[in-house]
Amino acid sequence: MENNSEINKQKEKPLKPEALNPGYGTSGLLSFFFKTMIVLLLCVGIGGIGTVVLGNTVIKMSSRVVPALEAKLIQLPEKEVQQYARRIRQIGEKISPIIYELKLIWKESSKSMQNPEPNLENSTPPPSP
Amino acid sequence: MVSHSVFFSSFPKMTISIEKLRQNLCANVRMPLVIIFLYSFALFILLFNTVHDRTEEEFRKRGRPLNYDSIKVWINHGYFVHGGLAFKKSAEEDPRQVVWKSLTMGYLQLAHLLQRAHVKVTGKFNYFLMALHSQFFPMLSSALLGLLAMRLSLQMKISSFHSLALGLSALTVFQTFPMNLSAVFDFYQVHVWLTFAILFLLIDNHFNWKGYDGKSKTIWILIVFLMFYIDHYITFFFMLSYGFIFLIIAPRELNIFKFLKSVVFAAVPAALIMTGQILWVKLNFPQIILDGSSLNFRTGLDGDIQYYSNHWDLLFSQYVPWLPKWKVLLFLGTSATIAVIFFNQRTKKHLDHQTTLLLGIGSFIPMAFVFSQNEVIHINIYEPLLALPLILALFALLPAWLETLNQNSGVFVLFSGLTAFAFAGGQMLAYWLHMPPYF
Repeated sequence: MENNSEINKQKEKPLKPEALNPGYGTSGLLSFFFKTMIVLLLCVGIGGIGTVVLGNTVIKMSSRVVPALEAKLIQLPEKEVQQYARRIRQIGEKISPIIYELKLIWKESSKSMQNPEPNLENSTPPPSP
Repeated sequence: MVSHSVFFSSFPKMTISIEKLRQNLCANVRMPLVIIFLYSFALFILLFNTVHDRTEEEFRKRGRPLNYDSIKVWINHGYFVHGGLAFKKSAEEDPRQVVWKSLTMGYLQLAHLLQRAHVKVTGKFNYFLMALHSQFFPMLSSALLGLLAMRLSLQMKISSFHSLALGLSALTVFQTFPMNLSAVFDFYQVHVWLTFAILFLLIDNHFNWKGYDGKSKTIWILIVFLMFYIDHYITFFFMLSYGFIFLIIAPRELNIFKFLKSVVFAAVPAALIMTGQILWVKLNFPQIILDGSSLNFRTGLDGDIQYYSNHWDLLFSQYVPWLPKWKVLLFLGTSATIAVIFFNQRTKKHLDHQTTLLLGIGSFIPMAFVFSQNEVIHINIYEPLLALPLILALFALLPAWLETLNQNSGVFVLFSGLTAFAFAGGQMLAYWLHMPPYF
């Protein structure tokens, strides 16, 4: 009985439209979708222009830095050049087996991708002679 | 510290002031016009601080040599002496050179005048000035497209503020369209032609409402003359489409004889100028070889399959690997164009929009079919012609239609603006990655 009276009270006092439907009839999912779209579109726009500006700055900076570095490298004494060359060679010798292994793995995987093993279980048997 | 109640109570005031601003913006015709041109100019400055932020040396090396050489010859050795044609060297220096005869070179005359003034003042040819000039025409055509988009969407009785926003959206995407950005190096006749073509669409839309009088007819003929003078091939197909569209689908009656008379009035002086230029050069320098693509070559009926095999090649832009593809815009724009035409036909309202869209397409499709080899090889020149109606449909007309169906809520205007912003950023980045500045 008490429950019925409460329901009747609610019927008497209709809720305001804002309380019933705060998003002007838009479902929560749709509202979320639109908000995400707005953020994504803004990100794409700002990201595009921002990347161009950043790229230009990096290119300008590097076009100043690289000649300065080159000038310094030219001035290096012969002894130091040989020392650097030896170090680079040592690093190369250490790395070369790893690179060789990676090459082998790459070749194997690409071969297997090109010629996958046939699935004999599901395949139809060849026609009998 | 501002209390919450004070903060929230300021919202109604803000809303009122925004509403006032809206009303002021669209109170008269001049205000949106000024806003559109100022916005286009601001975008022009932004482009020169981002994607076109390059040295003069780069503009010299990457720019189209034909443009630079022709202007230098005209300035140093005389424009009239060389018949205004595209000489690489002066006729005295190289009397047996090959000279391109396919165009009047009318599209370079503003650059010619600017450089002439610059050489008089400083004594030097300025490559940066050429770059500024090459982006001036895309800026102008984009601003006019913005105006056209605003005008057409206003006819649908959406709010003037919304139509201004839609105009700005279309403007933004067109001005940052990769082929318009690439004009900074590869400046072609189509960039100037488009300015006059959009002006034609604007004027045609305006006077078809109010009716043509003597003065407006003269303006119409003058613009068509300039279009023929800049590029007679595109203008021929454009006017052909115009005639067919009005004969077949447009609601207004077109007096075909009056129309043909007006076109002849515009085309004959342009043809006379071009023939005069060629004859003048032939008479003055008989050893000069005048060269241009033959009709057989342009149509692809020469039997040569070196450059292309069939019309499908138009879709792959294989000869312009230095420019980004725009397939997303092509697909979305085509869908939007079809949707707008569907709305027009279903409701039998705003048929002018359909005419404008078809006229835009009419400058590209018939030419693509007839001069297919020419378009496959030079697709970067002709793609802005196709992009124009697609951008107009996608960023202005379709959102305007959706607004009318959605009680002018403003949601589609907002999304059009945001999508245009995203497209502009994406296009700028794609162009920059394809044409990175010299290191």
